[in-house]
Amino acid sequence: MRKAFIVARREYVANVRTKSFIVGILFLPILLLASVFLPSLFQKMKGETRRFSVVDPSGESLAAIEKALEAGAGGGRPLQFALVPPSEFGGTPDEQREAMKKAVEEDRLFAMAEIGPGALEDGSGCSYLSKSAAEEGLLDFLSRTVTTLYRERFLARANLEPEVVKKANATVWFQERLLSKEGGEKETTKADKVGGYASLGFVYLLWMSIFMMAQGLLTSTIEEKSNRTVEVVLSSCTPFDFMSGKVLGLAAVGLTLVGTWITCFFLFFQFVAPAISETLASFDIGAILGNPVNLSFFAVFFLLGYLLYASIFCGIGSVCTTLTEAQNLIGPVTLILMIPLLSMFHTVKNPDSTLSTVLSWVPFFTPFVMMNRVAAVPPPSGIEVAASVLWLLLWVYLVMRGAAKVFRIGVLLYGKPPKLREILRWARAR
Amino acid sequence: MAIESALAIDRITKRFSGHVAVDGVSFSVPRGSTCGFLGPNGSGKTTTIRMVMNILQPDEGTITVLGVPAGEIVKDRVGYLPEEKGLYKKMKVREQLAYFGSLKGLEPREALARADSSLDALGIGDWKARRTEELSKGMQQKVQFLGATIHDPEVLILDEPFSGLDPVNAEVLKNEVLRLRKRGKTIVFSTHVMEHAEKLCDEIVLVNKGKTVLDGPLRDVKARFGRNAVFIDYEGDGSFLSSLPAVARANDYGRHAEIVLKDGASPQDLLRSLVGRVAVRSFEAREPSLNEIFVRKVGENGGA
Repeated sequence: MRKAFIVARREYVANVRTKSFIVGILFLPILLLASVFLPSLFQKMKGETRRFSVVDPSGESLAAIEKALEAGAGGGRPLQFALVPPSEFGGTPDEQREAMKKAVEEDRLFAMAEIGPGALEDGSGCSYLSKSAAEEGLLDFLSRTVTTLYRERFLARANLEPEVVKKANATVWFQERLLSKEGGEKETTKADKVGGYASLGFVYLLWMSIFMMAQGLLTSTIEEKSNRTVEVVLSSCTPFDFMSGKVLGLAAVGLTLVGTWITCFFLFFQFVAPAISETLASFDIGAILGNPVNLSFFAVFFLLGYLLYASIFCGIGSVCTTLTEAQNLIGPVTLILMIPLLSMFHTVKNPDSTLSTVLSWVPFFTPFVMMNRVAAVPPPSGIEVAASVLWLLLWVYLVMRGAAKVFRIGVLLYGKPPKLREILRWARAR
Repeated sequence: MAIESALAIDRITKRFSGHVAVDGVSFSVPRGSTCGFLGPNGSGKTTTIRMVMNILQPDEGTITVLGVPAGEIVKDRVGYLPEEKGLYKKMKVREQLAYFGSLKGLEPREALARADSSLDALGIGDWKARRTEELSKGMQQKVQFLGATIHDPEVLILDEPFSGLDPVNAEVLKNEVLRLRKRGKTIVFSTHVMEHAEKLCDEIVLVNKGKTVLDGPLRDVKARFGRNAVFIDYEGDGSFLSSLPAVARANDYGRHAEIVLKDGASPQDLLRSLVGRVAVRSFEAREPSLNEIFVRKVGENGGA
């Protein structure tokens, strides 16, 4: 076993020094920082402002629109609406209409709207003119603003007290509560909601890191085969030491990567995000990451899932001499790996559905789907999780044993790679 | 066993799906000797060596290395240079050597120190911090050899060590082998280049089609084939040589020929028939070359 650690150490050092590792480790911090700075950069960029004007002989709707814009309803941050005063287009509605239409034609205005004389009476006679059919944000904003005004006037005309009007406009809010499996009730907190999405984050992180590391293992196995170092190493240690050393070394690489990512994520939400936005600050990241259940299951499923796929990739790598050959054999495995990624959106919302439950018991999906279910609300019962971990352990053992046999034979084999059926025969051989 | 063997192979057999690669091979190599492991391509040399290194396991028979059954325990006491040279291209030269050393059981610090001193000794110390891929092919060969010997093994197994080497590097390697022999190491090398074996070996083992054809001390093997060979250097057209009545077989190189005489024919008979037809510049009667023995034995055995 001492030699396995020597192999692992070399594997770790060799991988950590590669460019792709450095790019990989910087990827998340850069993404997080970009998510902060890009929007403010967009905001500064010119040309993202939608200029528009309105023909409104009564001026009442126009005033409401101006007020709404001032109150900050003028679209999202990257996109802003700017009202050009109608007076710039002429004194009479007819002059204004013609001049605005021309302006839209010449792209000086993004759009123009006309508020009909009956708009505030019965909501009729409004129009909107633009060159773009895809952009609906502005139209939506205008419609909302004028509708609100219309509703106010309508209720006022019905001689209702302002207090009554306010009540009539009230929205009915539902108090959201969670019923746990044990029968207890509690109010749904933000952490519960965010926690649901955290489950997606965990699965994605798990998937990415397992796939990246297994892929790295495949490449390094093929590299050692094609540069013929395999034989030198095997003259010093057993194939099992060699393979387990490689698997171990890359596991350490993966943990370094994921550990760095999680730390960055934590630091970002703890210290950087609150300073930038209130919405981001409300993400109680500590509650999610600090949740020992999630973190420890992440560690368990990372380890088992990695061992499962690392063994498969290592076995496949050992029978191939070039990466192209390996790609053909890896294809089916990659397809299988896509399924938990596609099903995670279903599982996060329906962690106890039949589909989620069944998928979580397919050994190749268990690490991802179980992680998904454990971090979602409601989580599966402790017994089910424990059973699935044992089930996965059994499969990890079987697959590793098979892969070790394939590795032993395959790693010294050059020339045409064997057929999948042949490989499976080696794996099952006693 | 009269002399203690560094390596004793007893009737080993290895089958690969359908064909027998090694078929009951037996031989032993005395401690401190240099043994040439000869045979045509595909005769089972590499498979045998891999079984000695415990990379493959024999289906039948036993292998004893330094008095213990071949296995993981003796791996650290044996050095191995595979036929296909393999180095990590991206690794630095000294780290690479240290890695091979620590796999053979050296402490990391000791392994690094030895890597440095051995690189200095071979005159490529300036390259120790470079990546292996930056080295010339000849330098890489040296590094590979150092990798096989960094743990100062008692037994060194070299699989086709001279293949692909230019004369200068072949000379360097030969000197290294001689140096190790002087220090009492047991060296086994496989080759199909008979000149190397003839000059370097005390012992030879010849295998063909997975079977041992010939083995023993080189001197004895040669003596067994008698002194019926004649080596001549000549000028002129030597195409008639093989048709002379005294000649069983002639190996003609154009200016040099190795001639095997028929039983009962004497070198004088041959010399007489040469006079006047070619200008003889040297004439020597002695035991046949290893090459001749190789060709003859492999030929008898059904060819390569």
